Amino acid sequence: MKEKIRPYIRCLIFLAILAFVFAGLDFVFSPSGYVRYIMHELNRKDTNYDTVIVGASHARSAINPYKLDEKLGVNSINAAIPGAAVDDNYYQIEEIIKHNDVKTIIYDVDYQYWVKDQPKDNFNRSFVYQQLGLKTKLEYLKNNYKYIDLRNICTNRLAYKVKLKNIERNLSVKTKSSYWNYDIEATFGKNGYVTEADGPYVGKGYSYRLVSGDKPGGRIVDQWVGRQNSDFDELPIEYFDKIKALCDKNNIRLVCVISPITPSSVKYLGLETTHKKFKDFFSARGVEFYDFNDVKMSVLPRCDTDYGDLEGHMGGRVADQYSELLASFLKDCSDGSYDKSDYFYSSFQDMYDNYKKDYTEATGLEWKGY
Amino acid sequence: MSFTILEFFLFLLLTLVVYYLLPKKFRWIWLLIVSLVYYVSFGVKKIVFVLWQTMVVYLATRLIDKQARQGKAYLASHKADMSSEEKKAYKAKLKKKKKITIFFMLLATFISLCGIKYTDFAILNVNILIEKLGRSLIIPTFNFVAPIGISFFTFQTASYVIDVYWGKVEVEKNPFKLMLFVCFFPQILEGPIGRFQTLGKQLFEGNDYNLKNIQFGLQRILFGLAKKLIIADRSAAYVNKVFANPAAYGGWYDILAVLLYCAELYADFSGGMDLVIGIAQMLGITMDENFRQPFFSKSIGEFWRRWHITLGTWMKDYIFYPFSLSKVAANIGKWSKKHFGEAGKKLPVCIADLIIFFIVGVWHGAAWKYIAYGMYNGLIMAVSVLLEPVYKKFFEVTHIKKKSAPWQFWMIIRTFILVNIGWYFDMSPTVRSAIFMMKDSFNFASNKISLLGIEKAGMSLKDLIIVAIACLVLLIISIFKERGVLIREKIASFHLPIRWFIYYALIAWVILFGYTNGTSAFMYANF
Repeated sequence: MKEKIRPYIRCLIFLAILAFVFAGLDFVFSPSGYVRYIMHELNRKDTNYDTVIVGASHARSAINPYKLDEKLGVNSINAAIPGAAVDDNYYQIEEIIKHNDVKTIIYDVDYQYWVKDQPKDNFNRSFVYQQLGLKTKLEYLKNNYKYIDLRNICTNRLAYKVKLKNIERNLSVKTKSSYWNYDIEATFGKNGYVTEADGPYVGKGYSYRLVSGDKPGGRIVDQWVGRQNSDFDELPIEYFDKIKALCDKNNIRLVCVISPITPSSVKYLGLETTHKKFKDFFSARGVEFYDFNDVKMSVLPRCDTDYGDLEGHMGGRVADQYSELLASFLKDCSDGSYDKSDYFYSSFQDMYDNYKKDYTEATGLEWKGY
Repeated sequence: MSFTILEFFLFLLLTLVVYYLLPKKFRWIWLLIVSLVYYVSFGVKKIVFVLWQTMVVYLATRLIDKQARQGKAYLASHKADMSSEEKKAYKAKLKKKKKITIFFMLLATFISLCGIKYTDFAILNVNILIEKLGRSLIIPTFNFVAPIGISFFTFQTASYVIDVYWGKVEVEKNPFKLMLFVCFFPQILEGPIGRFQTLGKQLFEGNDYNLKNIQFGLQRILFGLAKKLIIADRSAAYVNKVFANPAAYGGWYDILAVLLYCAELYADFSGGMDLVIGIAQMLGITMDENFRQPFFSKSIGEFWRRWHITLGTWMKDYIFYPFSLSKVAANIGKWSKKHFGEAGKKLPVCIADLIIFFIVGVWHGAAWKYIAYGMYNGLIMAVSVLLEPVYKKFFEVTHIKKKSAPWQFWMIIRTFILVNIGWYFDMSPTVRSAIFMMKDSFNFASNKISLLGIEKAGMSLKDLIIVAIACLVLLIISIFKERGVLIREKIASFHLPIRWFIYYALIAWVILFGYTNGTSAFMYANF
């Protein structure tokens, strides 16, 4: 009998060691990432966030939760993760509401993650998965078993950088207490900032982006031309409906917003098309939706150089102003004193025709583009 | 259902667990169910082709078997009252009847393959001809999409029909068992082209559970994934880019593209075979090997005996020998001997080679470039046969020892070069493009290779180094195999810590260096 069982025990030992090998590979090759930090922050036992901002990179740079806290008297956090698609946001929200008594979710919608021609394959689906709790992880696997690569289930290999200097850095970061304590320092890049945040970390998931005016990123925007006319993909629709259902089930107010990107890119890309599509989409589902791309210059003065790039990652100064505006706006909406004409142009065309002039009027400064 | 995604591994796990839990006599039914499920995962409508193929083959073989049995029974019952002439006449009549049956049955077997794969090609060529004749009539094309693995299961079932006709195998009376032979899931995508006499029995009998089979099968799968993910997928981006736009490159870029294509194709196809054979081994089924260190071949003929072996043996058994031993070949032999002397005796063999490689070319796809690829190989083989007396003379004059290591090494290098020239036709979009690229490969002056240039063509220096090291590892393994070392048995004989270290290293190797930006489908799954 013993002889019969022995090979199977060996198999189990082999698999157990294999799990250590995977963990070892992650430890050596995977950098200490921001997703690990923010997911831990959201799941901490000593915090309870009632307002959560969810989205991708535009949201992370645009909304300062401290401003919302000040104006609305809430305890908010910016949980946006660069590169997070709608399905990632769903699992993230599911995880967040397990550990927080969430009352409001501000979902910053980025149309790039909704349109059909957004490249998507089984490789860019998995990075949130690595930081999920076991139950949500199993749900993730259940929903993605047709797409997820087995290697990505076992390891965080998509984040690997197989270079000596990266290995050295990973080992140096991960052998410090800041990594094990989930301190933000463990996610800092060479410049001392959170990777791709381009500015000092303020707290609650928000970094104050410093704007140098020399990173237009125009070529990337060129690749987006025409995308605004694409239909929405089925996957984000499916997952947004799941988010909506989750919020309804848990009595959470779901507010969808589009934080304003560089005015010239709004015009160049013709984002009134996107505005119309999202308006129809959210209205059909009875979801609050506010698109700030056509917010008046008098209310939020902004020129292209206030952004880190033409893609529309907001610089810290405008982000703080926008966050205050968003807070007041949400308050007005809750009070019922919201008047559209106070905030928005009469149409996108109205904005295209007047934004430069209005900016100068509002600030006394000349409008600057990249 | 891609081989690297979770779905496939869950599917495989379920297949194995249920297979070994079921009583032996029901196991083949389970294999049939999972094979159909697997095929349907590529599209529900495509299953029609599997059903059609099964139906045709079933009816054909039953009819052939019936004719043979009736003939035998008639002869037995009339043994006493028939003269030997009458018996001969009856046998000839029966043979003719069987020939007519098999002709129509093979026609029905190949009709879906030819109809789907070659109709549009034929129409396009007719349209070109019509245009050249100055007519304005354009025949519309059908744009058929070939079901996955159609070339493989058509050839596999055709071999079964012919073997039944020849009396080499017993006819299978259960159509569902036959269906399993047609669509057994690991091999349906890209072979190997199995034979009923070896594969059928293993599929239907239900195999004993053996942990060693599971372990060895998993090792083989891991090795296949390493080849596919590290070499093939990493090389694909550069290869596709250069071959798609050869005018933008030239010189060393083209030579590198051909060499990488060689690595990609071998790693992709043989890696796929490792997966297929590994999965089958886990089910206790031994599949035919499709590769035997092809790049150690010393001639094109030997190369084709080591590369895609099951297609080569299929061609040999069902085309080459039947043609070479036919009356037509004998008449050609007689005629050519009369006109060209002793050398003329070889003409039927040359014609058989050309026919085979024409079919091999057409089998690869409906395009002139594939026909050119086939004919290139066929011509080399045919010319080699014709030049045998010249070679003999050459060795007599030069006193070169054929068995000497330097000469053997030169033969390997020469064959490798010839094989790589053939890839130009295989991978280029058109024959014209292949010829242009061949010429441009020697245009070193205008296009000096640079790392920046390679990077622009889709491959970083890191990728190149990873592929080169992986190819070197593959070469070392191939050298051991060529010397008769059974690698897996050898590893199994090591002490446990060393053995496990090798496995962990291989797994880590796949995770660290397997291509990240997307896993492409297996190349031969398109055939």
